[in-house]
Amino acid sequence: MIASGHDEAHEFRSGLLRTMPVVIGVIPFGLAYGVVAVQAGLSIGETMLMSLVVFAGASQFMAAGMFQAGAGGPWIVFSTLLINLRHLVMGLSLSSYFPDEKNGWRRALAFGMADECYLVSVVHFREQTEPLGRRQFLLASALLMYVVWAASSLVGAVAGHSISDPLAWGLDFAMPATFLTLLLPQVVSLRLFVVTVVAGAAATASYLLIPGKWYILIAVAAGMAAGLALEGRDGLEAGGEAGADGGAAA
Amino acid sequence: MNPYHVAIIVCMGVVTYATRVGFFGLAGAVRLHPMLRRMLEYVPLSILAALLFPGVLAPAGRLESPVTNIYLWAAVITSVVLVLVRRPWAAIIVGVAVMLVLRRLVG
Repeated sequence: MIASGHDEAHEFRSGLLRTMPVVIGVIPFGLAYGVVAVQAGLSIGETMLMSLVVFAGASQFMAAGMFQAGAGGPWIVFSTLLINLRHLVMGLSLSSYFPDEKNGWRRALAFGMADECYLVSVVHFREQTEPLGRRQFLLASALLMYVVWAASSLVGAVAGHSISDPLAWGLDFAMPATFLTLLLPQVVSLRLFVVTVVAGAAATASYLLIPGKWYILIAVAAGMAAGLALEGRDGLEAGGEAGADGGAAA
Repeated sequence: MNPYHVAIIVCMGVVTYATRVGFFGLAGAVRLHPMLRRMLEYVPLSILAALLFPGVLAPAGRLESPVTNIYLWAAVITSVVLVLVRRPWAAIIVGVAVMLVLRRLVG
């Protein structure tokens, strides 16, 4: 029991530590959201309520813009649903790391499944010799993200116009830089390299050509198709290797 | 707070949570087809690529020339530091520092 308690505390600490660079990158976005939402006519309370209840950056930016444009409520909610459809795939992917977790825990952890927390956690789980989910890790990651997102939204909402474009500071690069350090160690075979390039190219092309946030879902579809196609070409010995690759990356 | 705004925000929260809990919260009950399970292995990498590539290659919403794109240069330097030093923290700090310097020089 002592060993497992120690293990949980350790997982919690690593969750905080691994999420730290991402939350530093999130601060400018939280500030920017606060500024944009208040300028769109939402009160500070409403701006905060959205950060606390929705907890999804892209949808919140979009909603602020739609409030400002005077869009109808149902349309704002429906657009939120569309943007967040990617969570379904992420949830399915995450669930394979938590096969024996209690449903209560899964339902609680699901609330905190922001993109960043999902990515940091899955990469961490894959680095383990036995790629199993650690709820303490995901919990720590989500809690830290939640607190920082709420606090930076609040500062942005209160300070409003007096903050000059927080996204131009350079701190915003902390997020892509973290994604890069998560991605590179995962690319341990030609197949995974091709998957990365195909997904990245599909994302960039659809980001530029298709309005809305479809590019993430399109990239996931392209990445899965490329991976599966290459498995087929590589023959039977490739079966299940994708899972082993993650372990080898550690 | 305007009750209409509060209602919209709460509904946004409900649909967002629904997408998050949809396949994760109910997962124990479903048995995945082996092929789907294999495809799911590529999801994290694809999402990482999707969040990284457009922001680096087209930071202002349109494709930028690789020569003048400071995001691309900062990303290249971050990668080199990661490969050489093997410390994610060091790579991130150097990347952000490079970005600050490049902004000052170019902007």
